[in-house]
Amino acid sequence: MTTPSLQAPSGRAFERMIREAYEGMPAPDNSRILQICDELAMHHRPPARPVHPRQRKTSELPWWLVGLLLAGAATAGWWAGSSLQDKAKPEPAILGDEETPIQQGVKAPVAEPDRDQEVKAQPEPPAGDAHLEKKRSPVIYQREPQ
Amino acid sequence: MTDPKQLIKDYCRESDHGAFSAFYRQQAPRLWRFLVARGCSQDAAYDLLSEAFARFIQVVCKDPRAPVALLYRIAVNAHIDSYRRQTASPVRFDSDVVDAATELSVEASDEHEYLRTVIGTLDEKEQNLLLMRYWIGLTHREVAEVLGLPPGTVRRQCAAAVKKLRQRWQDEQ
Repeated sequence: MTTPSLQAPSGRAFERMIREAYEGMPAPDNSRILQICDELAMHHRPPARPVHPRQRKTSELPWWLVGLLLAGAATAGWWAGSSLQDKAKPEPAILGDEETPIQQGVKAPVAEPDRDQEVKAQPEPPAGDAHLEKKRSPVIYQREPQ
Repeated sequence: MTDPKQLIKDYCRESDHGAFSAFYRQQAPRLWRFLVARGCSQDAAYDLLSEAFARFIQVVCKDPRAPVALLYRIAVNAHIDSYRRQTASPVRFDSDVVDAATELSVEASDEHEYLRTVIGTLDEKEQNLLLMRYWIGLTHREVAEVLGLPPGTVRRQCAAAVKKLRQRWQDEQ
């Protein structure tokens, strides 16, 4: 190899010379380069592109999340319904000096006569008195006397 | 030439394999030459190219802002790993491989060949810096990402490497 009889180039000239020196190196075999490209295309796929959350479809929501939302909506509906029912009931009247039912209940109850006891108190008719017995028994049907 | 960032953006957004193929055809020949220039044999360079792109596909869509820098970072790491697997010695520049490749090149001039030889005498890190910055065309920030250094450090080291290159060029003469 012959040493070129050149003065040392400037920094800029070196930069250009470096580029030219290596660009002038022999090129690779194009068929082998393309073969590698084909192998890469066959065996290596790009990683799956992550989907932005806003671009997700509703149908892709997980089933448990859908169930949770439905259960929440049902609970909220039930709670709202029951609270409306409570509001619809009439407010109890404000009692001033009048006695409340509880206060009334404190007083001794007045004993009312028991009708059963009255019935028992009546004297029993003597046995054999068929006429009276017939009279006391309920008449369901009585034939007209001929 | 389509912007490589746009191609990778289309690939990640639309799963557009055509965009990836365009990016591959744009970058693969240069990456192969980069690997050969860094001391790989031609066959090993094809293998590393395939390995680097396979890893690239897996990770590029996580952060598609600097795809070329990412590709070269993966390739450099794969290259270092392959050398570690073969030998326990650190990666060294194999000038014979480049010399052999140069012989195949009809266009190569003595000046270019000489420059490659002089660059081959620099440190491993300096060679990576110069090739990625001035040949591949990565920005200081992208080179910093590849090498895991702050951008300011990369800027200073690039200037120092060019200065050293000039010095070696004069010394060799």
